[in-house]
Amino acid sequence: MSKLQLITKGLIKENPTFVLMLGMCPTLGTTTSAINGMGMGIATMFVLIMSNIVISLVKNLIPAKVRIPSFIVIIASFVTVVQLVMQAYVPDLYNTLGVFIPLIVVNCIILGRAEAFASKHGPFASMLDGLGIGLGFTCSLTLLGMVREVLGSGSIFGAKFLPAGMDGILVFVLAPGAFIALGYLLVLFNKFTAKLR
Amino acid sequence: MEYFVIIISAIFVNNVVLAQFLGICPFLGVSNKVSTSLGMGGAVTFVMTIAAMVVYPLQYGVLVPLGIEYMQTIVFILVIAALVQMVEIVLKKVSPALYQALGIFLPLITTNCAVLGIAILLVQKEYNLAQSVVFSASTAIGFTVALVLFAGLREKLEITDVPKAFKGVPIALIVAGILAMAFMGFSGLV
Amino acid sequence: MVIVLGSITLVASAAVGGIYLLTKEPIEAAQAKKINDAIAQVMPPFDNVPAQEAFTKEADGETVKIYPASKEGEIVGYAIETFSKNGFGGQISLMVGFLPDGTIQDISVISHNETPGLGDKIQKSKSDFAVQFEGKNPETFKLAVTKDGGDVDAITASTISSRAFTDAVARGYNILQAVLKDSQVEATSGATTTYKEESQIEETPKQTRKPKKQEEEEFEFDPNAVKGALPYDATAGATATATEEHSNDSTHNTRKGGE
Repeated sequence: MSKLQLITKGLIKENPTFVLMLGMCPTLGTTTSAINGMGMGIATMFVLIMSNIVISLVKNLIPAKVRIPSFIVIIASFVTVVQLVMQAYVPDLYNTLGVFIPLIVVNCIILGRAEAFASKHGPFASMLDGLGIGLGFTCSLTLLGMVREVLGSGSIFGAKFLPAGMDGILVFVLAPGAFIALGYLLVLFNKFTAKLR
Repeated sequence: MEYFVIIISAIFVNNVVLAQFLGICPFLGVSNKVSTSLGMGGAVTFVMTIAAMVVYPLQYGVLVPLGIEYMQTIVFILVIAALVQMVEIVLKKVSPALYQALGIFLPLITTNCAVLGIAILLVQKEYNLAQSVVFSASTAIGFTVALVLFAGLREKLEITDVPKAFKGVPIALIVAGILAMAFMGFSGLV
Repeated sequence: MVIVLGSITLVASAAVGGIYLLTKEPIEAAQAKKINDAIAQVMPPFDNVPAQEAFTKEADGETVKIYPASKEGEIVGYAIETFSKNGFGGQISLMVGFLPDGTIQDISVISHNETPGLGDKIQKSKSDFAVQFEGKNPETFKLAVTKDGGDVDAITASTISSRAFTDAVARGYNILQAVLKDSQVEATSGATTTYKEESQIEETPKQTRKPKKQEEEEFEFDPNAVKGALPYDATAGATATATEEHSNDSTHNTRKGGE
């Protein structure tokens, strides 16, 4: 696989949200607005890239039996770093995303990539892989956040386009809207990729 | 009374899956059959309740006195992973029947974000030990309720003729959305 | 095997500890900035540093911080960092600015966990709910939602959040009363730390809270609100999906507020 393919595959072919269906909790839980979805995506991408690099560097030192616990420790450390940095520089976003930031640690995408890719490839390829999958995840979350924000609050990236006194379809910001919006996006995605094939 | 409110709100109003989006992976993954979803629910209830009992002394006995609250994520996930292993071993020895029923679901629980999520929420909500245990147990029951209800719906969906693009996960998500809407009706309870 | 896992954990913890030390100051600065911004928002112009003169008081088993703001040595108001634990999503923390005569100057939400689109309208950026408190003196403006017999128009479909917000403001006002009493004692007797007993905090003004379970609901659908009867409602149209059957008294109250 070429370097470019490593990066682009996460967008469509191996999109973590629409194809692999991984990391659904943050996907549904944090996408009340485009900016929240994007923040969550970037935080996850950072952890994914860093843990991929480190794991591919130390993979030969780790005995098979303690592989998973070691991976979890490495991932959890980077998650804690993200928590601390976000608290310091984007406290508001940190508060909005809440419990989903520490929960990056149990995001199946990260452990999945560590197992499937980083433990078999070199650090550079692993970094690209993390970047690609992370970008795919960020794009999906931003897209879902955008759809929910446009429909639910009548704004886009915080800028309201509906006239004053008018509001969006509130249910899309609430919990049921997350499921329904993702369901329909998935339908569109399936239609679109079916045509491509 | 206070406990009653915690129980009702954790099971119905703030349902862990349908309102808080924790544990979505098993919710979508093992909800094809009612029987498997019951098993998964049982295993989660078991582990989550024990996790609450372990996490509480850990937070207030170790992390806070040492001033290393920021290590919470690392410590909690390791403890939960170890706990799941231990539960598996103990269960195998003590109650083979229960192990038979729950065994295959246990390894899946380590990466079930509901368990870690609830552990973190317990600390955030500043519950005491008794409240923590009640809250975790009822949250897990809420998880089971949602899972079983959803599995029942999906069994019906299986034999329904849905448009091709909707087949599988998309229609399941939309059904989950409608289920979540129904659960919003419980909001008036607390 | 164990050694490898142990050393990985050790290295990881050391690295995280290092990052913690690095980010400790920015985190504290970010928190302090939030408080200072909130104080600046809710107080009339002042020239002291309220955070340096802050003092605390006990209320309902929690410590509440009070930031006195002064200009040219004269007290111009008190910013009180108050809270309520009865929010829909847990605790709501507010910074309430009181003038020395007890009039509410402004209110800023420090943190909350209310539902986006519903309860988060307690924030000024989301709706005008908090604006109705401005310039009101709780002596004449009864701090309870209309449903509970007070003067506060609740956010449509978010009674719990509105009630918790009001509860927090009332707690702040009670604390202010205690603070003012203290400062009077101080002024007359010359003593510096004759803090009166905490019992005062409970006193004024008695909030009429009906038993919880009776009639608390987050989603109440008010058909009138759809037409935009209230200045800050607007969401009600969509909440139609959230069932609501109870209503009678609440509908009347909200309507009254709007028309």
